[in-house]
Amino acid sequence: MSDRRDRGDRGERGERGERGNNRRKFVARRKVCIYCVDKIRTPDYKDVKRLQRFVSERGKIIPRRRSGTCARHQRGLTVAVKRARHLALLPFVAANSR
Amino acid sequence: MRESQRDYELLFIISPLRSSEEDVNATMSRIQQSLAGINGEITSVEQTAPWGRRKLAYPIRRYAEGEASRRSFNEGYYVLVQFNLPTTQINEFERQLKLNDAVIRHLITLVDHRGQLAPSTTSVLDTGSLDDDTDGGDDE
Repeated sequence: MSDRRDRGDRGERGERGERGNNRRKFVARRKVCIYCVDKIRTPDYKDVKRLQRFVSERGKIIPRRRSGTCARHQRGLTVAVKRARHLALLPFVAANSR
Repeated sequence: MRESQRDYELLFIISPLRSSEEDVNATMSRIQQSLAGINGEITSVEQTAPWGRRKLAYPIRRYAEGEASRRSFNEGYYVLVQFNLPTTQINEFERQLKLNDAVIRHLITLVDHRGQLAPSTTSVLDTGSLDDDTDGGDDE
């Protein structure tokens, strides 16, 4: 879960996919953590549909800065994704992208 | 401090070679027996809707009976079981699951009653493929 430490520490939350360059005037679309919105306490590994939204085409876990999940849910989310992978509900690596 | 009964959730995959109806029943009763033998009790079993026979996200290679090399499986029969068990017995139960060669993968998690579902405390262990042992997050 700590493998997406790259790209320095821009660390803003809230924007989607805005990387590279330095900050310019950029109006962040505020993204909201869907687990908070849906009032789910902890992401569930069995909920494959929902988890899939937090996984890239390649099967990687999408970083918080892109997905907008709050820190707490992201922590649970990484665990849930890994559990789902263990049970072959999600791929470790998806070679044939969708 | 965590003595006595707790609620657990077990999701496991039965080998497709053993997923005929009677084989599934046999596996289920075997699990039920091993639970009963150690004071556990099954509270619910789900093998419909999302579970049951299902495609695996990646092939799992397992030894099949009477074959020299591992065979790779592309689908499996998923069963979700809720049960409660004295905490001291969970290792024993997991050991028996591992001995059961119809079960190709399993995961036991604790059920969280504070919110709705699954906290972060678990015992995850199977054939050593992925041990994301996730403790410590449960005190939130």
